[in-house]
Amino acid sequence: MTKYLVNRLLTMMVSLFGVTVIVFLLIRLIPGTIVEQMLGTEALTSYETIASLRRYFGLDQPIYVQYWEWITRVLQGNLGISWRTAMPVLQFIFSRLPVTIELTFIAILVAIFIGMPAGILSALKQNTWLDSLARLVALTGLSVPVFWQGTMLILVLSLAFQWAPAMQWVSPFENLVTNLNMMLLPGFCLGTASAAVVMRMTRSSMLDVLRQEYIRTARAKGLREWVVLTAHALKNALIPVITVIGLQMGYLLGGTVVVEEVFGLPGIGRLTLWAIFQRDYPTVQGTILFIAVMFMMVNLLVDLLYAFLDPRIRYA
Amino acid sequence: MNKRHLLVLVSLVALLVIVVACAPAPTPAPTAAPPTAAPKPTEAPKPTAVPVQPTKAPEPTKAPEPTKPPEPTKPAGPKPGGTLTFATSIDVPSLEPHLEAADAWHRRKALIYENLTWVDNDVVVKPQLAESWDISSDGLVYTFKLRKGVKFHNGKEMDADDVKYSLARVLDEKVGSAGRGDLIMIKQVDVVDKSTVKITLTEPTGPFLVNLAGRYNAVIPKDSAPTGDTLRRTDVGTGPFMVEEFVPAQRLALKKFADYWDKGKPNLDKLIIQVVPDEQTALAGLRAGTIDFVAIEDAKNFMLVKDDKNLVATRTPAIKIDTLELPGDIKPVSDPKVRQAILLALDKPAIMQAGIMGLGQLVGGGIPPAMKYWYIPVEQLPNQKRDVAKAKQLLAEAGYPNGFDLKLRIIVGYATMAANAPVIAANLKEAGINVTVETVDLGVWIADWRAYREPVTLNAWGGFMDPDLLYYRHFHSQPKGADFRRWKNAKADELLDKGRSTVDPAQRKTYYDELQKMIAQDPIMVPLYSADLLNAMRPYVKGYVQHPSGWYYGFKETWLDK
Repeated sequence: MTKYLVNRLLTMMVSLFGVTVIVFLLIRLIPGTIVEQMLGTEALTSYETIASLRRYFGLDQPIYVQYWEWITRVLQGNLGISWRTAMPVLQFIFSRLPVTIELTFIAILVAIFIGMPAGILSALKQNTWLDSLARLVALTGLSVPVFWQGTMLILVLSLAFQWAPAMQWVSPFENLVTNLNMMLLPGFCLGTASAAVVMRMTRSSMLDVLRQEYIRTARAKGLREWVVLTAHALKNALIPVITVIGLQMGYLLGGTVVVEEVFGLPGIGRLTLWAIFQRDYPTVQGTILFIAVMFMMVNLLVDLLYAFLDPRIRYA
Repeated sequence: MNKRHLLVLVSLVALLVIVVACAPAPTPAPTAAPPTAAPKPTEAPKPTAVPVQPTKAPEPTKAPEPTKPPEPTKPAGPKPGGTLTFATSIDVPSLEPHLEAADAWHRRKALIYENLTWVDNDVVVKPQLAESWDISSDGLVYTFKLRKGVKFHNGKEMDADDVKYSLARVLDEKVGSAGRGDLIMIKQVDVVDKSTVKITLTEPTGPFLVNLAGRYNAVIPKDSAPTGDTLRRTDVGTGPFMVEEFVPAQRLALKKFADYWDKGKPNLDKLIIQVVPDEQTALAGLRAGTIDFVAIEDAKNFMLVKDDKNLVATRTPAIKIDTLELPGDIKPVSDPKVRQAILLALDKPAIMQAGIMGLGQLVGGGIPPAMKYWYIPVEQLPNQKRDVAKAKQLLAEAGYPNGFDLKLRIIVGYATMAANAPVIAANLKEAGINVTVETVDLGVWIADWRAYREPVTLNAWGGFMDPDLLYYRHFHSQPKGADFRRWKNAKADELLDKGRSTVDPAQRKTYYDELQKMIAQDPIMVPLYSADLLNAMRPYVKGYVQHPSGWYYGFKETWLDK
């Protein structure tokens, strides 16, 4: 187990190294730098001014030198200072993290509470109208873009009920009502898309398990149907579902950009987008690296949980 | 498994990049214009005596004191107090008074920092931190009497040394302010006494008082900004509001500055400027009452609220123009006849309808109607009435009887450009010109613009408060100007030089009148229209007057009737 963990962590380091290189290069491929952002197409800005700003940000250095300077600092746990705001990047990220985590949490809850029952029901009533309906809803949930759903919900609610989500985020520990006022709607929008994924996985996994011999055995030995379903079928069917939920969680942590933008939530996704617009390289690199680490950690946890849930799986 | 993780991540990053490439560029307006404008609104120079009060510790951002209870003021009219929540989709990266170039910041800055002068709602220069001034007969020496009893937000009293320091900082090449060009004509700044500053210029400069009010200027306390980072997240202005909390890309919370020199102002205790990236969401908040005021960027959204009986929607003519730029050194538009033909073939009202739902003003010579003093109405300029037959005839004379192919550039994310381009293409098609639209990234566009190789393109200008600032750099030949369109027009140079070196406004106006006519006659730049500034607010928001620059001076006078 320890050996497995060490192995996983080591390969993670390699992946992360790749991430740093790719992020570093990609953001520099977008035309324009922070200097253009700062100066606009400004009047008599002299070329000396431009050059001195480029020097200030180290943009005059060869790219491998820039990378080396950044990565050595990162290895010391220092993500640097945001160029555009003069704020430490890590502090910037941590100020945004609670929003994204809460959003992910709500979305996952929505996904589980809608997706799993719907999937189970759909599997049990396979090929009935109920099944068709559930699958249709799931397909719709997958197909409708989250931003459109969000915009429509906001529009309808504000027109019909003069209600709109709060605009300023407060911590749930500070004021739960205001917090939920702001977070429930985006969490719901985000969750419905994931619910569709969870529902489909639950359904197919459930169908798969229901065809297994041990289910027939369980029924044959006279167990009541709900015991068969919960203790035998569901327990086994849920293992792949948990993987899917874990993966969804990983995606949500890094992939809430659109919802955060529509609802004006100050989360990590919007921070990343903002930093890219501003060509604030340290912030872009810092946030994406951070998202990558979170994503990998969640995956590792899911894999470990997997072993815990399914005794047949052992990491040696 | 790990390879898969990596793949997923790479695609995530790629996705992000795609999102960025496709998303509307938020902050920077493609301002190709030399911006300059003025801070804080004031009425006439009133000698304001502010009693010297014990002041707070120099704690710029979060001064401890909440806000004083509204003193009993005038009978009817403005009620003091209250918090106004204002939503805008454009965000501010930093608060650096001399360095930050984002237009969104300059709008907010008008409430926090002030200058010797400001340009009022009618685009006329008025005193702000200066009380009065004398100009020597040769136009070279300006002597400013400073307003007494002006305090900075950190409690320090403003004096001549601070003014000198602030101007010197903008002029310091090492600081890197883009506003240096506005002040480059300053030869020397002398502190005569505590409340008198003498500024000597290298040459007479017509728009100098407007330049002083420029967007990159701000009077800050001496030595308060040793580095470019010091003032990025806090403030030390003299304006009616001070920064209570600044969260980049989210919120700028302002609170009333109790020691403000213009006694009784501002009316509001607090002004929360909330960044709501999606305008529809902001308007939903306005309908629901969680937001009091929204600045609308997208004309389509204005149409949604303009008839809402529970809201007040306003339009204000603005100091900005959308243009079609026709470079002077790229065939076939290098031929003045071809340029004139293009102008004659355009249906400007239709273009304005497509771009901004018609919510704007037509412009002929470059100066928009908001600059009342300088503007020449479209009807009084040549070539403003659509005449396709004449356009065809001109093209034939220029040697293009069968028209030609033309590439028209627009910038990614600028919705109005994307909406204008097809109308322009359809208009020009009627005259025989086949337009293909090319969309480029802002970075590419700026690089080409700076390198003097921008082809035919749509452009958006803003922020100029004086004709000199609108025209000089863009049309005067190099090296004094930049002549981005390669016009190389000696007559224009002469008019621009005269307009710049003359101090008398009436005299200057004759030069700029002629220049507007020249541009209408030989459209090296075709001004299309000026988009109005659009706001929507709850009915209890009173007293807000929108400044034509788009800046938020109006909140100094705003009060809540509830």
